[in-house]
Amino acid sequence: MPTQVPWLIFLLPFFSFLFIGLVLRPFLSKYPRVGGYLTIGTVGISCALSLWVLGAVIAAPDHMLLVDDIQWAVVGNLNIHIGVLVDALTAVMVVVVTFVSLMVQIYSQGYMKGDPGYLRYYAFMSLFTACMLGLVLANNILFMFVFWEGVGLGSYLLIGFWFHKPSAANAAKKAFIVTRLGDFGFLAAILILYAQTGTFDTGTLYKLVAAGTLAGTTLTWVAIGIFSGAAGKSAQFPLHVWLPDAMEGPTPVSALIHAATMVAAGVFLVARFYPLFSHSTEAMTVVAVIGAFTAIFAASIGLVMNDIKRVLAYSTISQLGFMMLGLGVGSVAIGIFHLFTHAFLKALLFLGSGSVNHGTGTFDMRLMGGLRKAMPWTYITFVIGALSLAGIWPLAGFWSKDEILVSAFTNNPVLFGLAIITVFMTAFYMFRAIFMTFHGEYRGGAEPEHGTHGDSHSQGPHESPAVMVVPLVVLAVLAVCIGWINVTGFFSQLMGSGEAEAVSFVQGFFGVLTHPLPLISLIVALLGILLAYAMYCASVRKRDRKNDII
Amino acid sequence: MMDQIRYIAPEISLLCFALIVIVLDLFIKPKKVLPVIAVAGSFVALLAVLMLWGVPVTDVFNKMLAVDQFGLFFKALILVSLVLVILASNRYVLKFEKFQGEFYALLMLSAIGLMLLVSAINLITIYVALELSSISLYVLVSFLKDKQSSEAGLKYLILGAVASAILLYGMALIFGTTGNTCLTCIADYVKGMPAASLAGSPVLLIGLVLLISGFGFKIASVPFQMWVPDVYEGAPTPITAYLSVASKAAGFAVIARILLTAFGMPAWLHNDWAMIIAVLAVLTMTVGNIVALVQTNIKRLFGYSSIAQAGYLMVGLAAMGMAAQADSTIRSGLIFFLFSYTLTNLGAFIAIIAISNKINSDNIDDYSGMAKRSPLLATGLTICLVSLTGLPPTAGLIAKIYIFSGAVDQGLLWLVIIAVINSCISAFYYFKVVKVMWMGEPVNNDEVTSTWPEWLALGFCCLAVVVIGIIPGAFMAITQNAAKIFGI
Amino acid sequence: MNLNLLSWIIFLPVIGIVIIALLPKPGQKTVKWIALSATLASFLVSIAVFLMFNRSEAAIGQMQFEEKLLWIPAINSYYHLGVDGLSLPLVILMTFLGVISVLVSWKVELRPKQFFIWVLMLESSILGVFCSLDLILFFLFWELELIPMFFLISIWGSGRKEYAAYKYLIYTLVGSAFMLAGILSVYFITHTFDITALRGIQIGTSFIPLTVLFFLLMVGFAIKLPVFPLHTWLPDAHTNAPTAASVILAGALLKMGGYGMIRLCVSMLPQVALQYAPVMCTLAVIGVIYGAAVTLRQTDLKRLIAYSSVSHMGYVLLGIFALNQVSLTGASLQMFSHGVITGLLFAMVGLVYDKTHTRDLNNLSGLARQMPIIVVVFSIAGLASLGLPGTAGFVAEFITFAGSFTSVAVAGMKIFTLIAVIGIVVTSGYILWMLQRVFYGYPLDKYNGVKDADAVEMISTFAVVAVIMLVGIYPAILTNVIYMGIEPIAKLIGM
Repeated sequence: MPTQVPWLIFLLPFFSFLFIGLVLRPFLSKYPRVGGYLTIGTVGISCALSLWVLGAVIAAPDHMLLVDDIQWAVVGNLNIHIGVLVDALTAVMVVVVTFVSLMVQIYSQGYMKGDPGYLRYYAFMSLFTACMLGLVLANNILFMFVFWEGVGLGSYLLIGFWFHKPSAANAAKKAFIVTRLGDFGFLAAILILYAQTGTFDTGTLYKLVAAGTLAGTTLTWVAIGIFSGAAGKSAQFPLHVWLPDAMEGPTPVSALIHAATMVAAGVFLVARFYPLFSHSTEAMTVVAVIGAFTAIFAASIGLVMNDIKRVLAYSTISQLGFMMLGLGVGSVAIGIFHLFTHAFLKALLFLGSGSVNHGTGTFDMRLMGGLRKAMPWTYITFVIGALSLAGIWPLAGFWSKDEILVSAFTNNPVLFGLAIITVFMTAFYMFRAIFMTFHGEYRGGAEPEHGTHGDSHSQGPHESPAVMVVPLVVLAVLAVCIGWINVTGFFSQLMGSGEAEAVSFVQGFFGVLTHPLPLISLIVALLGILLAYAMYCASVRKRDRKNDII
Repeated sequence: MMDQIRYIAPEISLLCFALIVIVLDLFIKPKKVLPVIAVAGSFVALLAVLMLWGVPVTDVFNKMLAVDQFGLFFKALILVSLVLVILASNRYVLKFEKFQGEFYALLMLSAIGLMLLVSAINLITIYVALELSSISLYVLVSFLKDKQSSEAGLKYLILGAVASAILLYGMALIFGTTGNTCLTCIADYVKGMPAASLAGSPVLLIGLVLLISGFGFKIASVPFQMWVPDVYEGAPTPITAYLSVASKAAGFAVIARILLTAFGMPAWLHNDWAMIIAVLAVLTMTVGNIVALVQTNIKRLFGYSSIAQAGYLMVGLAAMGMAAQADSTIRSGLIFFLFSYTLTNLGAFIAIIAISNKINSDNIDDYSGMAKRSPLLATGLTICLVSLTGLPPTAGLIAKIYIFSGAVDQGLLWLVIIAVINSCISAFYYFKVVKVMWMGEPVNNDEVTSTWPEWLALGFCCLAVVVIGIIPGAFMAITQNAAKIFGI
Repeated sequence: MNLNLLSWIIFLPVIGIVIIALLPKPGQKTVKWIALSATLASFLVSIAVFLMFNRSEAAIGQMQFEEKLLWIPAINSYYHLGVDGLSLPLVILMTFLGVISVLVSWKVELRPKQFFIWVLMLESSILGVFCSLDLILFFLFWELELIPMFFLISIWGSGRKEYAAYKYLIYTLVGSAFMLAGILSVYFITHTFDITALRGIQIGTSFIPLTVLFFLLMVGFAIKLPVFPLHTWLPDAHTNAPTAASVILAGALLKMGGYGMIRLCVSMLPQVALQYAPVMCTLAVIGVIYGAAVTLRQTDLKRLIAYSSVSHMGYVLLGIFALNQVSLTGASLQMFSHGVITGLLFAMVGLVYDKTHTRDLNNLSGLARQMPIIVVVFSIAGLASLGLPGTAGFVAEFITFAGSFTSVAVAGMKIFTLIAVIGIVVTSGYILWMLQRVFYGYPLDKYNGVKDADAVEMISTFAVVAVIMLVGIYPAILTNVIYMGIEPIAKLIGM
């Protein structure tokens, strides 16, 4: 295949956006389904291409594909090229983005059916996917910034998708401005890099850092600047405030943008410039501390939320903190591995919550309950996702979380302490959500948020259509097994840190339980689940029983 | 002697036509003929001036009058204003009923006086010519014979007489010191005086100061400007127009000639009087502009405006005085400004005459919505106001650039900065009129009509203003030619 | 072969004026079509010039399409036209906005004949400023622009239109008064009005300190740009002007200031510019932050955008006085991009106002439902204004920042730049807030009947969007040209 193929991964969704925006919406708005099919088709092809790229990268000796640059602008000594950088990190990210996006687009066929903004929705989704892919592919920090802002725009447009609701319009604005606050640091970092090195090219920057040309305080400030951008997008404390409000957007949007991909872009950014970070102890410390603090801080808020999406939102913030912690104390592989698993399982959870909403018309868990009978598929997949997120062996979340805990433990016991408490809280709030939503008795529900579903809710909660359930199932399968790829250290090796362990899959799979640390975390997580059961399931039953007696 | 008569052919021919007008006025009923004769006479005189243009510079009648391009240029300018004023008075003269003949004749006589004035090179001819023009103007100012006009005439007469007296004192003192009345002879005497004795000769200097003061009246420089608003307001509008241009142009011409010819040397002397002029220029333009801001009567407004414009002209005069070695830019700046100012101000007055004929008011508020009632008159007046403000594409801007460039060249940057700030202030009141005309609601919807002579005159002025504004080169060349006589 | 293309560009609108003026009682449509043809013809010629512009290395710093004719021999002044990389983009900008401003005025019914005469005259005079290579000619065109603008604001404006028109008039006149003094001083120091000869001229002796000369010229440009604290005319003029005038005012007219600074102040007196760069950069940063902060408090749509111009022009000033090649390029590009973006914003505000008859943010809400096309274009304009990548705004601001951040002209330039960068955060605040107030939220019943953009409005606004995107995605189309003009100027400073 020609070397410029990776471009297509980005260009296809972008074409879809242009076609919907310029052709379908003005001229063919009577056939909105075309927009959906077009988006699914282009993202599907992108996904296939991404898998091919991943294969090629794995096969390549240095896990890198070379793609030629295109000149963009020359201003004196400011010479800017456009190009794509395809290494293992990129390859993994494009797969995550295109795959989750594909699942979400398919799911949206059901979720958004009949919405008057159907075409607009798919246009924005395409735009977002294109920008996200552009961000991942760009080999130049300036273009990363370009697409960085592009995903911000996509997020803005999609959070404010139901713009007639003031809360949605407010949330969209808030998201954009808060992330832009972080971008100030990012832009400053770019300016410093340019002033110091005269280049924007990622590869060149790596070399300069390796050669020691770029070092010292400057490097620290650059790293902190980049991290401030990342903190904005990845909702790290204190720039996390926008993410919970961002749940005003349609739920598939939350799944794609505010759980799986865009918010992870910050983590990706830090990973992309990891060579810069790793040469500055201060910067690494900042990343680790902020990450750990965010993790526990957000998790503690998640404990008391009554809105299922907000629980998930705080959970996302907390998990992003975990990833940052993984990067700060460990390596690219550790942080990105968690990003990788988290993307699938959090998308699953969000889509599950969307399915619940579809069935009940509300996100308020106090109005739900007992849904496990009405929505069995949703229930099962949601539980799988929650178990995985809580870090129960041998689901995906366990493997990635375990590595973060290990590196935190070897690095700094305080951070490890924070992390292990977070694990406990995570298990607790996830199962609190499950017990409140799916167990007990049904408590009413409400009118749907956009009120345009063809079917009525008068008959009570009901399972979602197949087009929504199938993506849930696919994601649930991944939420179980996707973590296994690093059982033998394959993923770490691909990411360029660590050697493949000389163990067989089975040894690695079960052997992990022989170490004390995984066991501790497993026990802590189980305790969290138990506590949730005790507080929200058992007690309710008891009370009900009492009520029956009376 | 008699062969020199041809050098005053313009004045003589104009005089003949003035007499014809007076005589005819006695015999014929349709007064319409009179302006035709007056205009014809002016054209004959203009032709005579043009025929003299090429002759070598010379003086005639025992150094009483000079024949040079400077004088000829101003004679032509005065004649052109005369024609334009006569054309513009086309309807206005009906107010004078049976005195129309006198009106034209007196105008022509005063023009003769001014023409002699600009070519006079002897204190005596200067004084006589000045009185000839002034006495005609005293009469003309009070020609309406109503209360305001009579008051204006009386004021003009009294203050004019005082100014003449001052002037005469100055001349006497100068004569007393130098023993001469001819300008070149005075110059020779001054040059010959040892520096110390010249500096220690207060009589001569007092004479010079009195001379400047006397002409200050004519050119309406502060502090000799107080007659201007009342006279401008009271006088018949065509006479106001005439006063504001022809009389002022001649005044500047003669003061420039006296100062540069007689007192152009030595260096400290011309620097001294230039500084006096510069200071007076600051006062003149500032007072003129600031007081103009609050005027509600358009004639008074133009009175103050003409004071302010005199201030800019004095900037040019000061620059001429400062010039150590003569440079054509500096010397001709004043002349070019006078040229463009004359056309612009006349244009404005012609429009005002035409408008006030119809609406019988000089109140600026009554000009409201004039753009709707008479788009062309309003356009004409606007062009002239834009030129007076000094904005492109009009002669006013080029003239300002030209006159100020001379001043900057002589190191009078401070003066130029004050002048340009002043011209910003002037935008307020000029644009006030523009605003009223274009944005105000019309008082009523009567169309304001005008006659073809008014059109002709206004059209000529506006066209000239714009053409000079766009291609000023040729006109500047003429003024430079006129300024050559001051070469040292 | 010399086709005198620049003269055609400048005087095609004048031909339009003459035709409109000579028609005795032209119908409204006739006048509009004549105006459109005149501006369009001018635009097409300018595009031809753009395409024919020599971009080879040999032509760096050369004036192209020069025309030279002795004009006023007495003061050695020439009718001298020419464009280089600095002025060409601005010429294109003006001719383009000329077409747009005629289109956005398609519904003017009050005295259309006069209106279009003034619009065309405005266009001509601004084009003259950008093309003139003779100081006197430059000054003439500079002043000429005042008259049409005065009339446009005071007759077709709204609100306190007369006050605004006067304020505009006086501010500009004061500025140009000093400028005239400066220009005359330049002449008597160097004995030439030729702008090409003045670039990098070695001034030996001067009768006034060069600093004084620099500031005499600078005041006029600073008022026009505008530089804090000389900006107060701008909100009034913009707010009360009719849409077409606002478009041209914000789009092209302000750029005369920046252009003049680069063309005269920096090119002629680079050392003085260097000396006072800290002062100017301080003012620039104050302008950026102050402008943005004040914008946040506005409730009148037009005033809001007007103040945002103050903020955005601060970037231009910063770019100019960071005094290196990249920053100067950024400033030039920022002038172009701000021109199209803010031009579009004003056009959109005009549309909203036409349809709803209010500009008060407190009275607007939820218009997105009622005008789906306008909301898209308005949003694009807004996002471009806040510097979203992919639009011209981002490229220009980024290049400016990159240039000024690396500048060594001023100590502490990095701090200045970083403070200015904060401006873009505030910008996103007020732009999004504005969009939200106008378009999002509950639709109001009283606007149920309002129409969306019609064909003419769509053509004009889409054209601008296309330009914004084009420059945003492929900036080399302009930077390659700007380079031709900036390179020699940057060399003079030696940074």
